[in-house]
Amino acid sequence: MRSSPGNMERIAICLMVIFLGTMAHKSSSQRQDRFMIRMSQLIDIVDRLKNYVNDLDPAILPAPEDVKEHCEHSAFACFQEAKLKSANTGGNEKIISILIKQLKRKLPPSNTDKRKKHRQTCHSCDSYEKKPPREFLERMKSLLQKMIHQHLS
Amino acid sequence: MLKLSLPLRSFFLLQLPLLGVGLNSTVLKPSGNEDSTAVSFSTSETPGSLNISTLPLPEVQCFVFNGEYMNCTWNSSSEPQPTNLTLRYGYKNSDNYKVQECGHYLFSKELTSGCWLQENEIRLYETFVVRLQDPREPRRQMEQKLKLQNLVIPWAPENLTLRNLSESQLELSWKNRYALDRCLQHLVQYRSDWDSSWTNPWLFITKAVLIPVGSMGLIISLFFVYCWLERMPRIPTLKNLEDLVTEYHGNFSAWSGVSKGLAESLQPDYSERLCHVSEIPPKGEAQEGPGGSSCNQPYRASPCYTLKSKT
Repeated sequence: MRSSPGNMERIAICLMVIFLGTMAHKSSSQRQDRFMIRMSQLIDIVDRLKNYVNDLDPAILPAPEDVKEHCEHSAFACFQEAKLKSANTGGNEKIISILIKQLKRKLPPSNTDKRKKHRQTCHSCDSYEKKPPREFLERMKSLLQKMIHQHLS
Repeated sequence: MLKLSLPLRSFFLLQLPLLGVGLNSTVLKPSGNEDSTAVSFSTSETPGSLNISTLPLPEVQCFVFNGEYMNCTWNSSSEPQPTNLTLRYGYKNSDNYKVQECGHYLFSKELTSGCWLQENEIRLYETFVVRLQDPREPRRQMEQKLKLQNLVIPWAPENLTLRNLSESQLELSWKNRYALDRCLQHLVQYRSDWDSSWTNPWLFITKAVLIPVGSMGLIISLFFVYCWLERMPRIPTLKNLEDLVTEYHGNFSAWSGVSKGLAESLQPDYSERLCHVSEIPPKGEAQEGPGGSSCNQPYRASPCYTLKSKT
């Protein structure tokens, strides 16, 4: 049997081109705000984790606060490296582990990364005050808000 | 700007509450956990006795108005005796901070009831330490730590403009006075004369997303159903058989509804490729094949051709 005329193929190709064109336009406009989008997502994740704070391991963790100028990314790395984990009680282990995993994703580049030379004078993670999970998450959120403000300024 | 589809005849009462922030002070009352922590310092010479030095000091509430100035106030009437309490403040940075006294007190009934700080004294993302003290009893003091970034009250949006785009579309636009416009989120609600309450924002968002997505899904589904039906011609009923002769004059394609192209594509193709195969001559025998080919060739490729049957 021979195939039918290629009208269907032409229609499908046109729809695909329109769809790809829409996606390309959307992705190019979002590329500039990838950092902002990620920061907003991280704040949302921290807020969601705060709902499960009673199901987190109560061990104290390094929680930077009032960090020196230009040390925000270094301090945020300390938050990401902290051993925040579920207490394996309450039945929320899966969602907690997913949220914690999302917190540890690498940040997109920011316009404030140009000041990398100052990172050598930043404190090490162990030097920061250690706090239980509730305070840890509060301080993480504060740092995220500060980084967003710096990015927009 | 925001484009909405709204009935024209309704009178729209638009409300623009800022997401999470409002002018209602009860919304922004600092909680003990998130925005402020308070520590009281007071001592008493005789344990258990009622001494003025043991009386707690009122809590200080601070709000940053649009990032332009900050007011830190306390309830001065809560004191048993009229007292001009003093306020000192500072910013915690790297484990140390310097406190300085308020340079612009606010008064209520000739008593200090607050402190006004100007824009260059406000640092939103550093821990703000405020210390309230009774000057007559230096041991009676209270220290609070505040997160100013959570205590900002932007001014309300201005110049709300409605533009009639079409019979069923309105465009809303407004201006913000906050320095960092991108830091603000807005929630738009509307209602008509017939609605008893403001629109549910989540319902509005759901409609704004689900309806276009659902419509696209329906269109795509209909497209695939059309494609499928196009390849499945309808079976003509026998009672219309006489129409084949009277109305369509024997034109089967038009009577059945099957397009000519589809009818041709359903015709069987009996064409077949035929290839001649010649036997490899035995070794040593010199024979010339048709066309004068060389004796040294062990195999002669013959052209293939297509035999097409006439239908």
